[in-house]
Amino acid sequence: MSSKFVLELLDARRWSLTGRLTLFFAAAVAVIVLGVSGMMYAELVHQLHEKEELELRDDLHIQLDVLAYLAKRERLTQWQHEWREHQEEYQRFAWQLLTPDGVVRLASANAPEFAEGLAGHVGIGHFVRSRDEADPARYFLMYRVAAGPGTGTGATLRGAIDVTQDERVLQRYLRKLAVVVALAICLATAMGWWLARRGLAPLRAISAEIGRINAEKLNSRIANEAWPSDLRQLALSFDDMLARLQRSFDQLSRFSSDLAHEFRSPINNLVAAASVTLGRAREVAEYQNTLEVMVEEGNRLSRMVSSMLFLARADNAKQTLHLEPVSAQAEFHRLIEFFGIMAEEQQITLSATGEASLNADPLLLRRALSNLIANALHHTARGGTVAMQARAEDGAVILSVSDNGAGIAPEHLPHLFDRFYRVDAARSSSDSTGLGLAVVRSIAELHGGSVSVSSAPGQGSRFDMRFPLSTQRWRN
Amino acid sequence: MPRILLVEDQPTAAAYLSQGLREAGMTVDVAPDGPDGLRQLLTGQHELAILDVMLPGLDGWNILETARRAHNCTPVLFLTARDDVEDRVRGLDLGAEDYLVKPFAFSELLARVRVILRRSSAGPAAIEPTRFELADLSLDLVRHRATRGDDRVDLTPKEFALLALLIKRAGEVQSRTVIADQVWDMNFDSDTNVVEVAIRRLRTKLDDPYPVKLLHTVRGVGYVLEVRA
Repeated sequence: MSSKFVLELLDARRWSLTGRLTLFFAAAVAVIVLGVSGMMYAELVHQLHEKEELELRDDLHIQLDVLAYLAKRERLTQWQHEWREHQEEYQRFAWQLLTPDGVVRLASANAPEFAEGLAGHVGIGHFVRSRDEADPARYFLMYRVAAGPGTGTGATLRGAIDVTQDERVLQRYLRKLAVVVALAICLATAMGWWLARRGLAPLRAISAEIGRINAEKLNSRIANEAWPSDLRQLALSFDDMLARLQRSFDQLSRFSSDLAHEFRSPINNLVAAASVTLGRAREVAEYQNTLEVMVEEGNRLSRMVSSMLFLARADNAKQTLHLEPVSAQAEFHRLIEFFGIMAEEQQITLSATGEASLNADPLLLRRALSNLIANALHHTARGGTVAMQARAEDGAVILSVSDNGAGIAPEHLPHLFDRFYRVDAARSSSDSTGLGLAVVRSIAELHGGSVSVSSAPGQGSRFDMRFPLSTQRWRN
Repeated sequence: MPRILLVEDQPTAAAYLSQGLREAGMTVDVAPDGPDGLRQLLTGQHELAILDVMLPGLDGWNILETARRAHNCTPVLFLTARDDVEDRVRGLDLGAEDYLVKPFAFSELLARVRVILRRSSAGPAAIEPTRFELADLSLDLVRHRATRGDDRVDLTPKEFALLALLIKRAGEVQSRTVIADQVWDMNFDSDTNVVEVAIRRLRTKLDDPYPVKLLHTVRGVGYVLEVRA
C-alpha cells in the first residue's frame, strides 16, 4: 500500500496540477531571484576590489615618489630614517623594497604584521589576494611595482593592504542575500500554490458540476455557464458526450419499456390460453388446439428474443462479420427461389435486375434482404410487383427492394427502422416481431453502410441498402 | 433403445425434455447438477449426453473436458442460453457434437439428437440409401422421381428436395427453421410463412388426389411425413 503510494508520488504524470504549477512557479522565481542576486553580488565584489586595488596602487606610488625624492637628495643609508617617519600614518598598508634577487632591503615598520600578505610571489604590475593563515579572518591584497632609478638596478617595491573590512562586508552581504533569496523562494512557492489553486478553481467547479449529473439529470448542460476559454472546449465536448449519452439512454429506456410491452401480449396470450383451457374439462382436440396456440406464441417470443439478442450484439459491435465476396445476382436468385413460391401464391411478380459484387457477410445480407422482401410481399396487393435491384453508384453498392404496394405515409418514414415501430399499431399482435427493419438497419450499419426508404402512399415503397466500397476492405 | 444422459438443473425443463425424449423411444437418465452429471457420464454407458452449459457445481464445459481427459468419448450436445460465437467455438473445440441455443423447439432438439445417434451408430462410411418408400409413396433420389402407386408425382426441384428431407426423416417432425435451412439454405428465423406455402403446394400434388394422407402439419411445431391410422 505504502510502496504503491510512493510509486505514485514518483510518477510525475500523477502529480496534481496545483503541485506542478506551484513547482514551476517556484522554480521560475528561484531562477530569477538567484540570477539577480548573483549579478548584484558579483558587481559589489567587483566595485570593492577595484577600490582596494586603486588604493594600494596609490599608496605604492606615493611611496615610490617619496623614495625617488629622497634618493635624489641623499644616499640610501641616510634617508632611511627620514623615510620611516613618513610611515607612521599607515595602518592598513605595509611595503617592502626588494633587490632583484628577492632579498628585502627595506620595509615599513608594520611589515612584520603583514608577513602573510607580503609572502608569496607576485609579478610586476600584478595583484595577488591572500588570506592570513594564522588569523583566517584577515585578508590581504598585494601589488608590486618597479622601484625606479636611485634605488639600485632591478629593485622593486611591493606593498600589501589589509582588506579584511571589505571582505567582511562582502561576507555579511552574501549571508543576508542568501536569507533573502531563501525567503523569496519560500514566499514564491506559497504564492504559487495559492495562485495555482485560485487559477484551477474553475476546474474544480466544472468537476463539481459534472459530479452533480446523474441518470435523472442527463438533460442538464454545463457549457452555457461562463467558463474560462480553456475549459470551454472541455465543457462543450462534455455536453456533446452528455447529449449522446442521453440519446442512448432515452433510446434504451424507451426500448426496455417497448420490450416489456411487446413481451406482455404474447405472454398474456400464453397465460390466457392455458388458464381458459384449464378452466374446465375439455375434449382432447381442444387441449391440442390450445397447446398449438401456445407453441406458436412461444415461437414468436423466441424469434423476438433472438432478434433482440442480434440487435444488442450489433449495438455493442460484438457481432462478428464473416466477410466474403458476394454476388448480388446470385443472392437475389437464391431469395427468389425461396420467396418465389409465396409471390406466385399472391400473384406478385418477384424479379431481380442488375449485378454488383460486394464484400459482405452472406448470412446477414440474406437475412436483411429477406426481411425487406417479406415486408414487401406483405404490403403488396395481388397482381403487384416486387423488384430487387443491384447497382454500383459513386463508391457504393446499392441493393434495393421496391414494390408497388400500399406505400407508407410520410409521418412514419423517420421511425420506420426503430425497434418495435409499427405503422399500423393495431397489427402489433400479428405474427410480426416488429424488429425486422431494425435488424435490416443493424446489418447495413455492421457493414459500414446505411439503409434508407422512400415511399408515397398508394405508390409503393423502395428500400435502399447502401454498402460503401471504401469500408469494404478494412472491415475484413 | 438409445440411452441418453440429460444434465439439466431446471426441473421443469428437465422433466419436459426427458418426457419428450422418452416418448421418442429413448431411455433417459437425468442429473440435476454438474458433479452428478459427470459421475453418471463416467459410470453409465450412454450413447449421447445432453449438457446444459450453466450448471451448479460444475459447468457443462468442465464436465466435457474432464470426461474427455478420462477417455470417455460419449458424444455431447450442449444446451445453452448464451449464443456468443466464442461460447459456441469453445464448446465445439472441446469436442462437442452440436450446440443448441435456448429457447429451441423440442422438435429441433429431437432432430439433432437423431442425427448424432445415426452418425455414431452408422459410422462415417455408411452409405445413404437412394430409395425411400412410405405406404404407396416411393422416392428415387438418383432418378429424381416420386411416385404414388402407379402415378408419377410431378414436382419442382425444391418440392422434391422438401419431400426428400421429410421422407428421410419420416415420422420425425421437422420444424420450419430446419426445413428452410435444409431445403433453401436460409438459416434464420424469419417472420415469413414461405415454408407453409411450400408445404401446402406439395400437399396439393402429393396428398390431395389420394385417400391416404401422408404429409401432416403439427401446428406450431412443424411438418411430418408419416402414415397415420
